[in-house]
Amino acid sequence: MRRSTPKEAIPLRTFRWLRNEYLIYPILVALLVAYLILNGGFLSVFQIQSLITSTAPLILVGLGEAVVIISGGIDLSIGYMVSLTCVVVATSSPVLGTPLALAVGVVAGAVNGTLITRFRLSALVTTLATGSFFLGMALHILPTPGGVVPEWVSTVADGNMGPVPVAAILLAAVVAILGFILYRVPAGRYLFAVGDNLEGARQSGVVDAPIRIGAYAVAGLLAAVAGIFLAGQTSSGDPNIGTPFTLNAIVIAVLGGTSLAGGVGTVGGVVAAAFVLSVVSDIIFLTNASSYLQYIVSGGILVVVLGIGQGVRWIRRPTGQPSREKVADR
Amino acid sequence: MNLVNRVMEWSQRGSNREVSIAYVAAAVLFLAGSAFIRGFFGWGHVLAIVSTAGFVGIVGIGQTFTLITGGIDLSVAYMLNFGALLVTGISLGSSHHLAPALMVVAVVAAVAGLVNGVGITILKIPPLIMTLSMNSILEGVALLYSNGTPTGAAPPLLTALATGTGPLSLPWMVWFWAVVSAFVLILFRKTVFGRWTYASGSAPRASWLSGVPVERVVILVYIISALAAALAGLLLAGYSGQAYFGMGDTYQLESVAVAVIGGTSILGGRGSYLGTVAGALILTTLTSLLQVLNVGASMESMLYGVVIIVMMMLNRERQA
Repeated sequence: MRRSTPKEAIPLRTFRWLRNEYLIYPILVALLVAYLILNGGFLSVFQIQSLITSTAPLILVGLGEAVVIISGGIDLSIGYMVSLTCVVVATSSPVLGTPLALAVGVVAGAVNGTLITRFRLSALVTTLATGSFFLGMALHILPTPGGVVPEWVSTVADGNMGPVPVAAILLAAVVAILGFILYRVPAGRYLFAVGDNLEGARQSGVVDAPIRIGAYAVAGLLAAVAGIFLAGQTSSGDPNIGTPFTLNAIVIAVLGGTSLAGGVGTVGGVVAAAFVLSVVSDIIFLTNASSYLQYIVSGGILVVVLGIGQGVRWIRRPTGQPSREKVADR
Repeated sequence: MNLVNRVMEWSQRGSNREVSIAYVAAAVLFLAGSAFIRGFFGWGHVLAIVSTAGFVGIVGIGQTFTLITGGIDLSVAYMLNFGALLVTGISLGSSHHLAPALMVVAVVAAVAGLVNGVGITILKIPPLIMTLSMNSILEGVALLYSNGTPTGAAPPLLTALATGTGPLSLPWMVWFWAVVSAFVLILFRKTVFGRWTYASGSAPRASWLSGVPVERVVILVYIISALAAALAGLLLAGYSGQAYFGMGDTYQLESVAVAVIGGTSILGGRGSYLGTVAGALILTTLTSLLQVLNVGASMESMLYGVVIIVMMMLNRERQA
């Protein structure tokens, strides 16, 4: 990746909108309209409620992954932290289970962050390895789905207060707190600074280690909330429930406008992207297409989105030269 | 004496050091197991470990060289699984239909690898995202192909290759892995393509400027990785007699582990398949120890994570 590419150097003004972080909102609206039409022109209150509750875990892991990616890292262990905390809730005492799961999430995330920042290990391989560790712990605690989840956790995850799902209130609180930290507190500014240019941030006096470790810890905490949600929704613990969330978290974060290079991302975009993924899966269900398509959509969506802009640029490259940018940049 | 000196000299040189240490570690681990566990020591057990290590060793081919180009291949899990599903589904347990099945698997793997490579080099999608997405796509395609329930059985020829005994009373698997390893070592040490692979990984821009077709080299490496994973899938199908969903899941991390244990740098440009072979032997010996101690699959999963992180820390010190 070249350091200082002037924006004007990109010959494709028509495709500038592809880089626009607000693009996700019209996509979401279009998909919602398609969903509405497929559903016969109306949505029941129940359908809207279940859309929100089923999207809640996706929003949580997507936000966690976005915070880590903004800080300049990547977390491939998010799905397994979801599994681990889900299992912890289902096997601990009703009172202690939830706080314990939250603590486990924070500690797991902090371990990731410490290994990556203090020991300067590759974020990719480290979180791949710790992910295996967390999965092993989850399988050790509860080899097969089961356990008991307290009644109130299920109420929070699945219940409604009048027409409003409890999950929606909780999500609004999470989004508000995270938005406040990212946009209104120095630590949030530092997070963007560290992700955008680590050396530059250090030179300007930002102590980067706590910020970066904090980013992984926040991802762990949000993964834990997602794990508790899933335990409540299924009323049991499942050591394999989180596996698909690793890829989905990255897909949602990047689709929501978070730059993999670090330093760029918005809370709103991530929330919208989570709904996009959720509505797409509902549309697949409504059209009676094979549910296996879900895997292909999850995998293909990001490749297509990231590939289009560069692909068109490659086709229109000036003299048939290969591009000069570094190959296989990580 | 001269030979001993030359071996000693070779083992002190650069990255050979890590490879030598890995082999010594494999031997020490085996002897330690033998000292503490009755019945662990024995020629039969050595052969069993080597032939089991062959599966992850073959998946490790792709992981070693994608890591050397500065990337990673996280699509090996379902490439392996899809290869196994295809070969059992097409051959339906008959060795007569093995040839067409092999051709289909080879073409599918080559296409998947090509898409990975093109996505990474030309579309500039980060290797992590590209291959993780490909893993999910292959999972979906495999589910669509088999409709969720794998059919057929592995042809007897594959079963013989994965479990039978060949000349010199060595398992066919050991022979096969030895031949594949020799081929891989020659390909990446003695050919221009091999040189280009290392060059593309350590200094892509400089390599491109000096006339190395970096993009084509990287694409080819991802095709080789997909083919190797599919080959391991065929052997694994032969080993278990059938294909089932999830048979490749552990290989995603294990293949990274064996490459990292063998001294391959996750930053690209450095590593050797000889090291990966040692890594596969170490990991399999460890797994075998854990199985004797009966700690269960969950502990194995945790151990793989710890081993990778410890090895990265150790290699890191040497880099500094």
